[in-house]
Amino acid sequence: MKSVIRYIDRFFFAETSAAAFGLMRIAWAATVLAFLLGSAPDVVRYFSEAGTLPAELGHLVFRSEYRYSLLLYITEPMAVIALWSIFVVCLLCMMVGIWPRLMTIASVLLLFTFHERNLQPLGGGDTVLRNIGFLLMIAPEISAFSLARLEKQWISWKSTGEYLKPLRTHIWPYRLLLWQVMIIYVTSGWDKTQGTMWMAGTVVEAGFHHTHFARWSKDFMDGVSWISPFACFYTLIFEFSWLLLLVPREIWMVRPRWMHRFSLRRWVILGGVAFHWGIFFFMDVGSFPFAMSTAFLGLLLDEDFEMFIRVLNKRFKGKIVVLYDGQCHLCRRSVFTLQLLDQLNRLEIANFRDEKQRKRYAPKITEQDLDKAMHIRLPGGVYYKGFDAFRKIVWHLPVTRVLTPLFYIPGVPPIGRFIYGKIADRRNKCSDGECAL
Amino acid sequence: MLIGAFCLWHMAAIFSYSIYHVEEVPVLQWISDQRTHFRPYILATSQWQRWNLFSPDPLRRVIEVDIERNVQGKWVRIHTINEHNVGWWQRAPELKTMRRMEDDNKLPLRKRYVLDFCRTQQIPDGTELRMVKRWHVIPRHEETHDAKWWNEWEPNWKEKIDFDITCKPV
Repeated sequence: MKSVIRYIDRFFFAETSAAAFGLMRIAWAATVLAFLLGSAPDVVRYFSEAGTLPAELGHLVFRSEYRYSLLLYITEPMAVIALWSIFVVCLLCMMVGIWPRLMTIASVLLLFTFHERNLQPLGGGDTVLRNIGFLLMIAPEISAFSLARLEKQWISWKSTGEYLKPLRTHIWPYRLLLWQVMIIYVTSGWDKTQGTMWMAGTVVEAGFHHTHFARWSKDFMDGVSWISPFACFYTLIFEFSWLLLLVPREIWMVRPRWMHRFSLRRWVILGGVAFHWGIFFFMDVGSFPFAMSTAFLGLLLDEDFEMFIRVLNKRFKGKIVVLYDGQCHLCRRSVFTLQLLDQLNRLEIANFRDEKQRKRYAPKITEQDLDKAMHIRLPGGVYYKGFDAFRKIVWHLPVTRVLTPLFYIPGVPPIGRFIYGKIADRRNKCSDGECAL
Repeated sequence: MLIGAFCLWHMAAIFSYSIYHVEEVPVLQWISDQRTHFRPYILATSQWQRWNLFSPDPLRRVIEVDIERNVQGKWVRIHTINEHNVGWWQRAPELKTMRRMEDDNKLPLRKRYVLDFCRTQQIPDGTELRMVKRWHVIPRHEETHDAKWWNEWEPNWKEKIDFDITCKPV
């Protein structure tokens, strides 16, 4: 009995990284916000008493019980627009992480309010967003990657020179999310077996010729219809493959040893990404691919983040030494930000005002030269300074990597060097908390 | 303990509420029958869901709707609701709305839709409008057809005058 209780305890209350639900919070808010802004011209039409669905016709669309929506009481067009605007603000706060808990609860409840007012325009993606929004609302820790967390980090770093420990949380929200995703795919797969066209492999060619969904011209869709049987069978196999995740890990250990390094969960998630963005390429199915990709973010575990770092660091050996001015507040803040963004753990920070560190990392550069601009030393021993050093670092931070090509556009480097020089000259005018640039 | 019990309850609730077409599997049918116990929880928390996307067979009926205006006794088309006439960002919700109000018992919704069209397009009260429905059905195939077959295929459109209505304040 004790071992059963221990198993259940481990099943729901083992600790895992809170980063996945932090990422899911951001992606959820961004997805809902994007589609909410898309509905801006139709707010009055869809959600107010003056629109296409007044309360008197509600019986044709709604259930009559257990239905709660603020929009049952807020019916005037201007008031509905005001509520919609509040929703937009809540989503922005949720996305960047200002009062993340409060804003998440407010955003999810407002999503319920709008969906329960008019379900006519809703699709599968909207349902997924409601389902995972509920899990975000009740999950114990969702503040990873938030401004609220950043503020706490800054206070800790300023006072102790240490970052807070990475956020951890209980695994039960992950279990609920995984179950929800499995329900989506397996019940959907089951429903497909009740018809005839999926088994015949002809669904995709029919879907490609439904003009409400087809993204490209008829000629193009005619030309790619040959993929129909393959896509149909891939869909069925992919959807039912989620059932394999019910098999306990202990049993999977009977697999041949060479297979142990492959994570089945990771493969089905990758299969899901290919599936949904494949559909997105050919067909317009609203928010569904975005909503499912958001859910996949919440399914990442410690081992996935570790693998991500391992793969990206595969060809990178050593450390990039960043030499900064420990007496300048702006420089300290910049280094604080750099270290936070250094998810791949490639940077080593050194204060050049400390003679020991200067001699160790830049013995041939004078303190006067180091004072003029930030210097970095690459693992090969090559030094860069100023804007060029900044540009190198941008490439090594996963969040900013995608911006790197912008800094190589002809014309940008001279402007970058000029701006960097101005900031470096005036950096000592910064006091703690503010800068007079 | 409470959290563990809640998790099991939630998992059971969404499972029971999501399974359909399980008459031939007694265990699943029994679970499906229990949904009445979960109904208040599922509905009150907006967790209702039905995953019949493109299933059992996909949607093959394609519809378009015209709104026509009576100009001196002649009906003139002034708007068509189809994939070409709604913005890409409105395509999914607007076309879904159109499909969902197509059923016979949703006639009041379609009339309201046209009255709302009068409001948004500022068409004067008293103007006579009518809705014309056009549709075709994509063939159901038991085996795949090649690009040449689809190239030669032409939709067999059918058309029906749905109703007339006079613009009035809503």
